[in-house]
Amino acid sequence: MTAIAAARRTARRTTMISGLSLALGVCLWQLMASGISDLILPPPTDVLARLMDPAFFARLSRALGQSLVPLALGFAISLGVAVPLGIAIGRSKSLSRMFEPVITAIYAIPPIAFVPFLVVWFGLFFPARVALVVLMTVFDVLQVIIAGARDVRPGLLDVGRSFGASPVARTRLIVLPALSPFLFAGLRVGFARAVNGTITAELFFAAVNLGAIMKRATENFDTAGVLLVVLLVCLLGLLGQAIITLLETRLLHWHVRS
Amino acid sequence: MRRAMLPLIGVFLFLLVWQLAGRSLGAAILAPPSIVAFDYLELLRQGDMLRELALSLRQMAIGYLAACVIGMPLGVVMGRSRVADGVFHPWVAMFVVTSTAAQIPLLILFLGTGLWLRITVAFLSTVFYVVLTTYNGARGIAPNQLAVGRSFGAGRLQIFWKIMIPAIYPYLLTAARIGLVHAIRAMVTAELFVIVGYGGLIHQSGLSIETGPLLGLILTLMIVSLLGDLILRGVGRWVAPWYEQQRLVSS
Amino acid sequence: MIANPAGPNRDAPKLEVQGISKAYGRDGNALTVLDNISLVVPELEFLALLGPSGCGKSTLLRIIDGIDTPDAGRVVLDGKDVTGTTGNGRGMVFQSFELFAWRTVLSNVAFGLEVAGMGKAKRLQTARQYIDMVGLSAFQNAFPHQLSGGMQQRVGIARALAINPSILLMDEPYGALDVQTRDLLQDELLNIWEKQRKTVIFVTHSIEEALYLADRIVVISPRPGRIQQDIVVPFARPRSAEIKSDPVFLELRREIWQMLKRGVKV
Repeated sequence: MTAIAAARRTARRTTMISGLSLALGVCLWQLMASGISDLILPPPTDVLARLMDPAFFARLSRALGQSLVPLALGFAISLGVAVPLGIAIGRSKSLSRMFEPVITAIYAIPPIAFVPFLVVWFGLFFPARVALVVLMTVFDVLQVIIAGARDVRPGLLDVGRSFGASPVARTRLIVLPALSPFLFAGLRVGFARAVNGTITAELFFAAVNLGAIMKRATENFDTAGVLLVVLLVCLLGLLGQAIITLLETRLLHWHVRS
Repeated sequence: MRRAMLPLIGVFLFLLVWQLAGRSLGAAILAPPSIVAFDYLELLRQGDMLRELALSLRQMAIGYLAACVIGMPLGVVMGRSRVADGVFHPWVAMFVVTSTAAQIPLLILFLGTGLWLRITVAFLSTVFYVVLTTYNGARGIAPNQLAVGRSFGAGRLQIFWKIMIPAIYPYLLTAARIGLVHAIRAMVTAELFVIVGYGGLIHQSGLSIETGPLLGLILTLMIVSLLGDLILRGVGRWVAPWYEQQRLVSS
Repeated sequence: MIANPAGPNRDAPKLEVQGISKAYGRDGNALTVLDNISLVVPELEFLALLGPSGCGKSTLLRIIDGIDTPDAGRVVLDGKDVTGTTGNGRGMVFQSFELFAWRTVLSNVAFGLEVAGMGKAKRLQTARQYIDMVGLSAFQNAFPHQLSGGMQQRVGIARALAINPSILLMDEPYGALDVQTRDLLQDELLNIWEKQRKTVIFVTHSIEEALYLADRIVVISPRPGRIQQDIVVPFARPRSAEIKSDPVFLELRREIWQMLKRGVKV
């Protein structure tokens, strides 16, 4: 069997094991749930039933749709700030040395601690949610981009200079393409953090959309409902990562991953 | 000389901008460093901040240590065994992608709002990052290094302790550092949600009109994070002085 | 012994290196890499810069290319001072190939033309010619990671040649390759050079390579980098591999080896 075919077979086997593991987990859940009160641990069947409830499903979908707006906006703003800034800092040794300590210090603060601050600045509604998404996303993406911009092999830039390319041309033709794997890593991290920021905002500011559903369900001891929202958030995160990775495989077919 | 000055210039610029902004916007919106400094001394004098901090950190530490003790071996096992990888990876992936805040209401339903909630939140938010970082390290061990062990007749246990563990050592240290970041974040998130402990202090400070004390509390969090990281790196160097820190991009 | 009739035009200096010095480090810890190097390279000469590792020959080449700047001295190309500037008809081949992983072979070779502003159709057409010259037409749509080291360096050479440089600078281009590939590429280089004569400056630490390829060898001794010797290579062109076992060749090789040993003092 060729090496590629063997690798594919092991990958398939691993996927099967993963599937089995998930299935086993659900079965275990079902078993445990039958022994415990439904208020604390509803069985998967209950959760499924809740999902099938058309009213609840409608509310859930609408909430999800509305949650996506601050998510997308905050994510876009973060990228718009972090990518150029990250490239500038990563490529310039002096800028890097100047701002590294400040960035490290701010990065050491849990963004959630700024929530009361954001209330003062942005209120309790849409602007505050976008702001929290940006706050939670921008630093992680910045870190990745800085690392990537630093990592561009000097030899490649020598080639650019040797052929007489201007700094702008060098950034466009060399730095950006060399950076692109890191860009996608940044997109993945950023998206997860953006989802994080959105749901956190919906729970800590004025509860709306998914956060509101979660809060109401918690108050009503509707564990199945809460669980559904959690699963939805989880799914959203996984889907985003899958899409970004798919995009990366398509666009960066030259990239050899170790 | 100029090189050493640059970081100082950066910090100075930052403080300057902050001061100017704070003065023009007023302490109700953004207290400038000059006011924060005074408020900070007051916070120290009052004692609430440090007391709550100590209590909160103690609880966080339990969750954090549990996460390291469980997460590191799990990560190694997953990294070296494809079966283990298959079994655990979907769960790890699912949890890593679900934010702490989203987990909290559910955990409150399971565990109430007491001690166990906060320890569990810290644990769950930390352990999967520890697992992933260790996993990447364990997977990346150069096969030739293990081959050396075998060619000298080393047994499996010997290879494990003498080659594998030292080989993934930088990842273990990074896992501990990344884990700490997430543990602190989880601690603050949970406490802000339930309004208790240090997070509770932050919430209450947020209700008042002065942003100075609030910034002071945030400043303390920053110091704790930086100190914790420094200590971990120091411990790392002390345990394995031959090892250079590997710069890993956090997953 | 027999001077090459169609050899370098010694009346027309293509390149002049005047008093180039470069040091790294500061004040007391300064390491002088190049110490007042002066050199004249006539048109169409194939010059080898030979020396042990760390003697500054690569640094000198990079200064000639303009991607590094000297602390003192000038680089004059075709009568123009080009110190510290790049382009201007200089093409460089790098030891570590330095191909762009995200570009196909074709796109890599066209890079220099793209930077110079040539239109897409024209530059791809030109690039194809040079890819053909190095024998990689079948691979023009491949990515660098799909190629062997030798093939990647061929791409690097094609890339430098594609801009039709007036002087070709090669920085130990075969240093990262195995001996067989190196021998092969040496012969290919000579082939190409016979068809399209250019002024070449070739950095190497291999005496055999320098003797085989060059018209003239400038030996550089290390720390600080200085010109130790200037040797005219007496073999007629076109050269073939048998020359490497010619007794004159072997004798010269031995002499230069002795010279290098003397120059390398701790």
